[in-house]
Amino acid sequence: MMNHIEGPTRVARLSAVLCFLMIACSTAIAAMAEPQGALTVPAEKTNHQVGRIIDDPGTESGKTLVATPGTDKAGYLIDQPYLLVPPGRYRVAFRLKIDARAKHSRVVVLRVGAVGDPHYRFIDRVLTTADFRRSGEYQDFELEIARPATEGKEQAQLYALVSWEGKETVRVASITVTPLSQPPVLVWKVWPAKILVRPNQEQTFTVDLAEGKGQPQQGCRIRIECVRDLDTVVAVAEQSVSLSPWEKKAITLKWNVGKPQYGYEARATALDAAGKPVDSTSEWFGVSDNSFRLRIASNVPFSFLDPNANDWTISEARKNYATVSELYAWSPGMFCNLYPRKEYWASGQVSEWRYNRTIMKSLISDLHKNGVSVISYDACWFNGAPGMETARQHPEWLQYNSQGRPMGGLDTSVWDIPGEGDEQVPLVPYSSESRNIVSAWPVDDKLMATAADEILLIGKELGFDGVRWDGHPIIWASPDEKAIPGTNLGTGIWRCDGKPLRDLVKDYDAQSLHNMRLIKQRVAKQLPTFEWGYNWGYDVTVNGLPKTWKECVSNGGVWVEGGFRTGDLAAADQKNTWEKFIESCFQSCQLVIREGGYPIHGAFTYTVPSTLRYTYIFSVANGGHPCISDGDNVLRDYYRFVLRYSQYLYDPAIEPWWGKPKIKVAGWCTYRDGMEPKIPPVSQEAAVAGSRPIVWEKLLFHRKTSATTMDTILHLVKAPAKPYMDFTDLDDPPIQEKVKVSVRRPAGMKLDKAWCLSPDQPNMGEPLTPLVSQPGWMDVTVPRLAYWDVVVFQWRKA
Amino acid sequence: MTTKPKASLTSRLGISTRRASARIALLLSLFHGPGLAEVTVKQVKEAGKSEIDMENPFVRLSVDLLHGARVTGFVHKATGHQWIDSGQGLFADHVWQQSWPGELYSVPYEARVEKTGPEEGIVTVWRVIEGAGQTDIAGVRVERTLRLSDDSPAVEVTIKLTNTTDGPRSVGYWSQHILNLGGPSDNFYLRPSARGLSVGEKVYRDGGRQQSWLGEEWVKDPVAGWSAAVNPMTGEAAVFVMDYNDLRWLYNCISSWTVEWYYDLLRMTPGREWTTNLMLLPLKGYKGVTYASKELIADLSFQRKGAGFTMLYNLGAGVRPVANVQLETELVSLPGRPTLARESKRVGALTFSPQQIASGLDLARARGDFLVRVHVSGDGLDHTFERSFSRKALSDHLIAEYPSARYLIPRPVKKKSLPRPSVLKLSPHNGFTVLELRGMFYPHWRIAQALGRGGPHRVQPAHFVTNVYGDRLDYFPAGYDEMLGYDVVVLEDIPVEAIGEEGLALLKDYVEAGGGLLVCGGWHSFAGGGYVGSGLEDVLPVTIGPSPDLHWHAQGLSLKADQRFLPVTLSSFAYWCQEIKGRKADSTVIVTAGDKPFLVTSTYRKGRVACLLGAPCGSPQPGQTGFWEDDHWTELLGQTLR
Repeated sequence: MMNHIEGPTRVARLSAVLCFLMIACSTAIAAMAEPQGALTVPAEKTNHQVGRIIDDPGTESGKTLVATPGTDKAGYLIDQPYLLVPPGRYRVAFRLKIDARAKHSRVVVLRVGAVGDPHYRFIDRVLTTADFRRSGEYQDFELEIARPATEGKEQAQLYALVSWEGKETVRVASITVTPLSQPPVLVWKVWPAKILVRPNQEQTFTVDLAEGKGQPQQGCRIRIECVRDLDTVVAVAEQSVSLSPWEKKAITLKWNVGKPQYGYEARATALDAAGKPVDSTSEWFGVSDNSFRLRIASNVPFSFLDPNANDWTISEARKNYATVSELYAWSPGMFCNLYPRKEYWASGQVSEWRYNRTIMKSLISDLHKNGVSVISYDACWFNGAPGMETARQHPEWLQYNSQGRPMGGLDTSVWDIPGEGDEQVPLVPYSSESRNIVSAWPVDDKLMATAADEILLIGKELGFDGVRWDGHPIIWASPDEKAIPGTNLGTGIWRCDGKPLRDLVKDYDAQSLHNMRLIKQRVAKQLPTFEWGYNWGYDVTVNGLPKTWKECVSNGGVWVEGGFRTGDLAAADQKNTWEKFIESCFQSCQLVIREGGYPIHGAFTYTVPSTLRYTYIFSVANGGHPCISDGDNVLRDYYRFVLRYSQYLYDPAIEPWWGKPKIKVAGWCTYRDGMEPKIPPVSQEAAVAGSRPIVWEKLLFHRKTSATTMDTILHLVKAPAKPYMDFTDLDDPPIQEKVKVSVRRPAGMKLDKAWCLSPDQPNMGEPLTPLVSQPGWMDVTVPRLAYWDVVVFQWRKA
Repeated sequence: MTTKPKASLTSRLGISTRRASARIALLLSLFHGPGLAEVTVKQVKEAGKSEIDMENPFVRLSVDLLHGARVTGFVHKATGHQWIDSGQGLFADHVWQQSWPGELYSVPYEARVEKTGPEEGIVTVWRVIEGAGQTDIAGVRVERTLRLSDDSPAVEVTIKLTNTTDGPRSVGYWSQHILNLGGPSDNFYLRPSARGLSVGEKVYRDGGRQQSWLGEEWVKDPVAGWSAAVNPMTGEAAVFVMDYNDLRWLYNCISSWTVEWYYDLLRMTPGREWTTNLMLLPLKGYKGVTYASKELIADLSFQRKGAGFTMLYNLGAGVRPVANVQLETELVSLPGRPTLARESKRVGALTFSPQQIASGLDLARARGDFLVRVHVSGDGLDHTFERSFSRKALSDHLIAEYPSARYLIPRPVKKKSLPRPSVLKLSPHNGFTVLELRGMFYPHWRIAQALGRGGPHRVQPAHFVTNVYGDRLDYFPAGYDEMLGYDVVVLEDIPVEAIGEEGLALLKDYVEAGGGLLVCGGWHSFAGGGYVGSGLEDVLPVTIGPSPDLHWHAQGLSLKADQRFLPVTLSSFAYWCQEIKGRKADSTVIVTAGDKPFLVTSTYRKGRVACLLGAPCGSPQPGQTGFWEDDHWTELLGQTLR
């Protein structure tokens, strides 16, 4: 089950309000003449709410601002300078150091922004101890931002914040603002309305321009292009524009994205009257006919009781390139009780979570406007107050054990709370999830139809785009009726009249298939594009229910839970090797991908950035969609990269270089590849040479793109410091340079181009110069391997 | 003149015969080991470390006083094997109200060395539970006394819980032991259940690189107080023996090598003390365990002989060697249970190393599944055990099969000792007082409205919880003073396991003394509630049918009250009704549902008992009303209660 991320809603609101108040009340506004160069503001000249100024001979000014746990409160270590600068692009560098770097800890949040922008309210970055090279040494951390002039003024607002978490001693020496460029026409934002668009649908781009010189700009042009694949540029639109001095203008353009899917860079360029480009900016979005295929689901904090939180939710989702928001445990009950019949309710699963229907509808609507697909969590049990009432009215819909008792859990103290739906209702104290819960009997068409109708209700009335089951109504029992760990599948179940399932159903696969088809078809009649996801793919029911597996996995998101959860692999145990992990990722992904599904790995725990990064890379490189807890936004650049270059990760045409595996589930979270004995040595296909170990041998793929073209996709990952997953290690091996890669040229093909794609580089991709060092092979040199590079060779029939 | 018989050597030396034979056996069994036959106890206190080390000729253990007073080092001298990996331990104290690791696992304990040898070493450790936010358990003192003696491998332990507070407490004690008998060979976990010998297996494959586990972890139907971990490759065994009368469930977290068990929930009046004894027997020479007790460890295995098999008895002493041991065995066919063969054997003395004795029983007589019933007697020894086997599972390597419903062993009735007053009398009090045990769908019975019709009253609620930790109530009277202060007790679909043996004894005595009991039906009561064979069935006006006894009548059964007893007109239906086996002779049917008894009453000693044989569930047909919504329902119920 996903962790529910509440997000720093209150903190965000508080910071916004405080900033506004400070701007309104501050007497320390420093109006700046047009900067000729960088402006450094030493810490003692900034405004700070917490911390103390002390002497520090290690800084230029001889002073530093320090905050120490136990002595200082958490809060805004620095909440200014608040500067007025000419419109343009700026780099803000924060110079900080920490005293100790022994363990993982969140240190500060850096923030640069201006009040009033709904989309780019601020640029922020979380710093943890891992971000510091070492303790006791000052280091610069930079954020870049583009600022147009404030309305009616000649200058742009710019503020810098350092918010201290209160956990580690930190010292701030200074903040330096460096102008990068001040173009006559600043393209300070291009905003694709939707992060994910369906094929042949319309995308809207809003381009925000600002005049930057205080002069009229005539005869300029704005060009919008979309770049897909490696470097295929598609012209979207071009139009002329004129700006008065300091004027800001927004231009909106629409574009039908057509058939091609996967990731795009939307690039807006301002050209002067002479046609010379003067400024440019980019944003990224994706096209897919199934949101599970391009599922990038990172932290999407949401609050369903605060309508003012929608902006924050959307802003965070867009910063993390979230294409899917799965709402977990939101509903008043599962299965037959998804749709809230009242305006207010508490979650049937996590009793502390409260919701309001109107606010929820508006948030889903806003998410849709941003192209984010909203998926509901569901499961085949009865829980929560409405679930229990349904169970009371229909005991024939419940599963029973051999003693004739409903299978589930009960806590009748919950019924002492007067009914749900009242905003003031005291919540059931949270002690565990679903204190009242009973499993559903899986052989009842009326029950399945009722469950399907609930899904229709949440789809039509609230706007949900799909459901991801955490327990869908399939049935399976092993001959010895031993339960599969973590489920109640496999164990015997009995009907309300004491008849065991095994006497009533002879073909479990047929019954399970019938259930799933009944639900899907009933929903599809009214919501034909509704999407389906499951929690499956890691136990013997995959082999035991082959037809049902095929029906579900095809075009479905499959959450492969086993072996990736905190309890399974989150201990620094030398037996949890990266080799095992990569193999698990590969096998679990291939099992799903080869049947036309989209594997989701969940959930990866976050203890230190290094382990988080590697678990993410190895999942994605194998075609997985990780569900992770990334509270420090370690992987923001990675989400953008994965979206942009998603065709090299998620195209079903991608397969291992040697062919298609034949993966079977051999046991709980255990797989076997029938092709393993036949896999030829990878050395006959590629070679990699770096100054230090590189993981690549199991990450080499082919992708047939047409009858005459194909790609070789090779992932290079700097090998982790230890061979096993160490959830405490802050450090990684150093960056490698000039990594030599050789791949075999496919017979009858010639190389079109070779590129190196990487989320670790600001431009995310660059062409490589191929060489032929030996017949039948192509060589490239990858300039830099920080963590993960994806080397793509595009071949064409000669 | 009579002559005094010549005194034996042992008596002339002033040593008891029993002790002498133990010492001789000890010396014989230790001929490879250290010859020191005495117990030592040492306290070790250093920076960051406070331990008590105890040693006898068989084991060496360390009690870590800074970390839950767990035994964090345990060397079984017969093998030289250290059983504990870092961070683990034996005899960890827990309470089920706190999920693992719980409050006690890693906190400092107080300690007192009672005896330092040479014949025995005794150490007592204790701590009071803080139970922040958990009023049920806060202030309960947990005390554990460990004892080693010079002539036995047994580590004998006494657990004592004391309610040190002024209020009642409910606490479920749980004993945990994390020990590794060594991989990379499989470890087996063997426990006695009503379905036969329950087995779990920690499996090592591929040189230990792959580990998994098989079998069942929970045994919620133990029939005796023991649990064993065995490594058949090395023959090393850890056999734990505990008091069945206090035992609730046995458990092994097989992937983490634990042996654990839960005790029955204790409801403790202020000042009450409860003690229980347990024991660890570290042994060698066993490939499996079929039966264990303080005195005897036994296993049955098979050896191929020609086209068939011979059964082997593997018998060893428990806490001390035993003399004059004899066997009597029956071979019984399953099903049907005819005895196919018998044998008797003289075994002689049993020591800590097991003896293997070949049986002469002709197993070929059992054509299908069979049962072996063994009676072992000797000096101070009298045990009977049985074990079933399926024909197809027999092999030289059989440790245990997975239990099935092939045959069921009735669970022995537990003997509880509760301080009972000599005269049972309801205590006088003001107002009408009701103890309402609220089970599934309880609001629909509408007890509160029914009581309200009769005037002032006070309700003490208790709530039913069932989850992986079993059935329990969040409140029940801890003693007679409280129990005898109620006018009526209402069980709204409550199973006996939630009430517990002590609670049932209180409840039965309460009714006997003149109390009123209303038992409402549902899936957790009557057959589904374990009432059959429990003291509660004795009190009821009905005998209970087979499970599942709650039957669905989709069209509804019309309710009708016998106007002679209850002048109330009902116009409603029941849809889920409890099917009973029969009514007792002195019972009265007050309300019927269709032709079935629905409200049945009787007396039990001085008390009054009523049963509502149905559940307030179901979907009324068009034009019908469920009985729970009938205008006269609360009137009927109110009159029944008062």
